[in-house]
Amino acid sequence: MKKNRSEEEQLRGLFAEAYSKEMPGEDFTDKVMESSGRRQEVSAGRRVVSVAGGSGVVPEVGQLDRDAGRRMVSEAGRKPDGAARFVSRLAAIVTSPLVLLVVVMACLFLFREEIIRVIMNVWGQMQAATNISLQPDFFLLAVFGIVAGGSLVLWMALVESDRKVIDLDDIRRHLK
Amino acid sequence: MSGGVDELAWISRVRLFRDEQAFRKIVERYKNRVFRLFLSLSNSDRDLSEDCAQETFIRVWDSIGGLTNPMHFSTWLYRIAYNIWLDTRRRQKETQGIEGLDLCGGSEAADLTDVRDLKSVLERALSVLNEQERMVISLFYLNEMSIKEISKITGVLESTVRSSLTRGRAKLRQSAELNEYWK
Repeated sequence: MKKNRSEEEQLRGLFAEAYSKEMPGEDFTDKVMESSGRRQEVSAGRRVVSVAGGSGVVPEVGQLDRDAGRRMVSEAGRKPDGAARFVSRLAAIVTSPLVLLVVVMACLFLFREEIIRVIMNVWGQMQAATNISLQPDFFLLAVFGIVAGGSLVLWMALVESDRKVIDLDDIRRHLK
Repeated sequence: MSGGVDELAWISRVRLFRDEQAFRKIVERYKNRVFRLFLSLSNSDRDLSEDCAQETFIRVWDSIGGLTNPMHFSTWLYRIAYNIWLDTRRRQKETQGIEGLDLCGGSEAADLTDVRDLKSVLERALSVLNEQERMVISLFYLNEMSIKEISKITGVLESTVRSSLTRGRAKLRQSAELNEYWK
């Protein structure tokens, strides 16, 4: 038993000695960080136009091409150039559900006069056709309620479908 | 095999906030150990080892949310490394054919001095072992994992690990070169 333990210690010592000076390249950690950072964006459902070359197909970062025996990490995980990164981020922000909701609300507010006029026209035609005595205020409220409710449901559906709403980490990264 | 309070804090930060700085620290702490493991398995194929180590950490980043017990982070990490190595070997077999397998192919030319010499002696001795034995021996002697941990990493019974270890050690003993170092 004692002999075994001493053998084990010796062998551990040999392994430690043999491999103690072996370490990965200096840029190893940076490559890992870069690749995992890219992955994070992909998994968050962002458009990685720049990485995928605009085709919409995202190469798997960190994937190894065993046939060629070479690394693909550096290719897929490479930082895209500035313009491509800007486009990718802009696309991600513009299509985020929160921004869509804000745009819809802003449109409703800006064109409220026109919208009310159209609704009133519809109400007038309905009144004439059906003879229903509904107050125009109620009708207006109902239409706005349906639009606002619909937007909210749409927004929640988008959020649920894992389209990422702008997050603080993202903003912090943009500011860096 | 816990890495201490600071490591637990890093893991929590990565899990909860996807904190890249904390993840960087984890990579810094484990990169040499993981790289050396792959090096010992691949007969010092540096490119392949670096690729596998990178893939290991990328997978850690992707799936750290599924880590059930942060106290056993290193076991979990080596399990990922083990699976990546199995995938790599499977792919190698598919591309090269089982007969054409060249486990020694990555071996660097033996430098007949000091550590390089010991390393090439070890590599030659390890090349006699089958894959299971080689993995168990590397994890036990190089990464200093316990039999229980190796059992969790490889998913085999502790008794099987123990017998692989005994068989592997006996095969290493047969290497005359290695015996010069291993009195």
